[in-house]
Amino acid sequence: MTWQATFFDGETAVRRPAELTLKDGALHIALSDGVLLTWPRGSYTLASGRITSEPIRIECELASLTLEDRSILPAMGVRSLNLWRLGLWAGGAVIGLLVFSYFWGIPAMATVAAERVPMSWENKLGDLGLNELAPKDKRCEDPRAVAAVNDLARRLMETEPGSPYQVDVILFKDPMINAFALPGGKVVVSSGLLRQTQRPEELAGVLAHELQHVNQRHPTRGIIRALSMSAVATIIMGDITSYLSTAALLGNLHYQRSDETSADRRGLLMMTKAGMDPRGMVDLFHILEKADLALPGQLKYLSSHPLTKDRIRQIEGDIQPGSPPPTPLRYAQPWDEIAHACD
Amino acid sequence: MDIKQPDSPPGPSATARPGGGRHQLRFHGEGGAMFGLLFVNAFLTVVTLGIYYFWGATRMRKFVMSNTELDGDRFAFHGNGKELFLAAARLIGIVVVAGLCIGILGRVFGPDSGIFMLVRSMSQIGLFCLIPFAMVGSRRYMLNRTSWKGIRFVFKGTGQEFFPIYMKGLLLTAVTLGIYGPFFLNTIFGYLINNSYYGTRRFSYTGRADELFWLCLKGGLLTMVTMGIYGFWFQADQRRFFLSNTRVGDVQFESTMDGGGLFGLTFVNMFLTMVSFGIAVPWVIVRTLKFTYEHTVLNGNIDVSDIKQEIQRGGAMGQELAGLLDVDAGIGFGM
Repeated sequence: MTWQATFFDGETAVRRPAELTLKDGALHIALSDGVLLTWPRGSYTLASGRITSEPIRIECELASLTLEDRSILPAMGVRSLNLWRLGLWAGGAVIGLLVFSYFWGIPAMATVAAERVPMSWENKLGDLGLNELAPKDKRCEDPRAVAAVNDLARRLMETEPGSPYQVDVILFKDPMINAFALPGGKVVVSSGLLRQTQRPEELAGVLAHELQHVNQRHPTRGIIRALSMSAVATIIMGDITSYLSTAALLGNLHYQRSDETSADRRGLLMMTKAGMDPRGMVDLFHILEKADLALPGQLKYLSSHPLTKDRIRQIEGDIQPGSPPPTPLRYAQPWDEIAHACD
Repeated sequence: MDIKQPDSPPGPSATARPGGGRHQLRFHGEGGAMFGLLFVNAFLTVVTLGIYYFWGATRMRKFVMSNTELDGDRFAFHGNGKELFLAAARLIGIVVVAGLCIGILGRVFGPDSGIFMLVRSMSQIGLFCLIPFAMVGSRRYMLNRTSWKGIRFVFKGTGQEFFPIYMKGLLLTAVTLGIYGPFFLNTIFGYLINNSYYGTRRFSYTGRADELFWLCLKGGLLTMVTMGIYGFWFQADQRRFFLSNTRVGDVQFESTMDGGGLFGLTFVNMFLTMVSFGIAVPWVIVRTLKFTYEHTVLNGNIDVSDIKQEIQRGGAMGQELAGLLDVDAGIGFGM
């Protein structure tokens, strides 16, 4: 079998028609001007044409042959690739890979990685985030309130003596109802949230939940997850210059639903062990629900901690029925005074 | 100007000679194939944690070049992923080592110490000084890995030569608050074109800076007045100016692009990308290439009989440096 091709010698730009034959892997080239060339097996390569949407070009050093007739490929022992079909497979695989890594791969990796992050890194990251999200000049330093919230946190933390974290609760002057945990044991509570509470057990509910995030290293895990996801996005978009600030990262930290459930359940357990009335957690949620209806949009806390019916029902279900309510917590000042100390 | 003038400046005769004619670049690739290529690249890049990127970029250049035809023959791209990868690895290595050294300096002498501040700002200035080298290196890489009719393109400019030209132009542009900008642009373009060759045949650029200045002044003002709409016409005018002043042998380049066409292209591209949630991007790339080729005319007799191959050595470092610094010196052929 012969094939028609165009020959360029790689010295000049003159095109010469050629007729090709393949024998035992050697390519015999008969040029129109009578010149005969032989490219032995192994001396030439298929530089282009393996995929169906490219012309066939065979190169031997600087010389090249181009041809339209694709029937030479099977004779050379080459299988054509259809880019269209290949692309659909690859597209499916990319989407599959993304879904897999988003829902399973990255969270699992983040859990493993978070356990290996040194405490000093967590502390540094937490301090960095704290200075951005709750700057010093906007903190509430009222000694009554600071002492009360830190006392609550200490009592709760005593129920988990294995925890390596030194917890520090920071009160932040902000009308928004908000609370969040940072890596390394820093918990921030807004004055807007504090003033909504009617008794210490309600604030303890929020603290127990956030302290569980701390002890289970959820903030660190969340940061690793967000970083990995942006790295994957960067690889796909091919952009190495994208930049993420620590504050933006911490401010938009989302926990997984399983993290929230776990923080609720173990937070509740913490309260019971510390001898506090666990109904405080549910009561606060009811107060927040009402506040959200009255002041929609003011509850930043709810955007990261959605108050689903399921969630409240689950917490209520977890509270031991029939057990006598423990003695209410008391402080030197009436709670109402503490709750409004930062206004 | 410090531009090398062609050995025998060809007369700027706009009319084609008898026996010559109008030639056009043609793109034979299809959106479907481009779609496949983009997704295969994305997939392999993800599973190799980014390493395949260099092979993917090369694959794309090969696809575009081998589907570009002029005078019955296709272009070819001869680069490979390995050379890009090695160049990038070396470059990243240098950056990491330099960064570590500066970091250690900061640790030892303190972040507010004079020596740390000095070294850090010196390194930033150094990085900036690499821009002209990256432009030249990138153009050399792209040209000498591209061939047509079996003959490679060549770029003979050097960083040492281009560096003072670039810095002088930049300085004058800054001092004159941008008024020198068009002169600077003309100088750069002239340097890049006048040092480009197809085999042994040189490209030449004869654009006059004062003409470009008036074009830029008018374009800039009208673009501001029309809140950017005139930008399309301005861009088309610049392209027409650059191409109509570029020749190679008996061939005179010409741009038939006008602002209306460019506006229409951009509008439709954006619309297609939006309504398809990005799926149409491969087709958008293909129609943009076809539009660009359609409006690029080569007037005159394409006579290649006396052209000889000239093989140039040169690594991919400049190309990667350009990528790192986000410098684009264009693909060549005066486009």
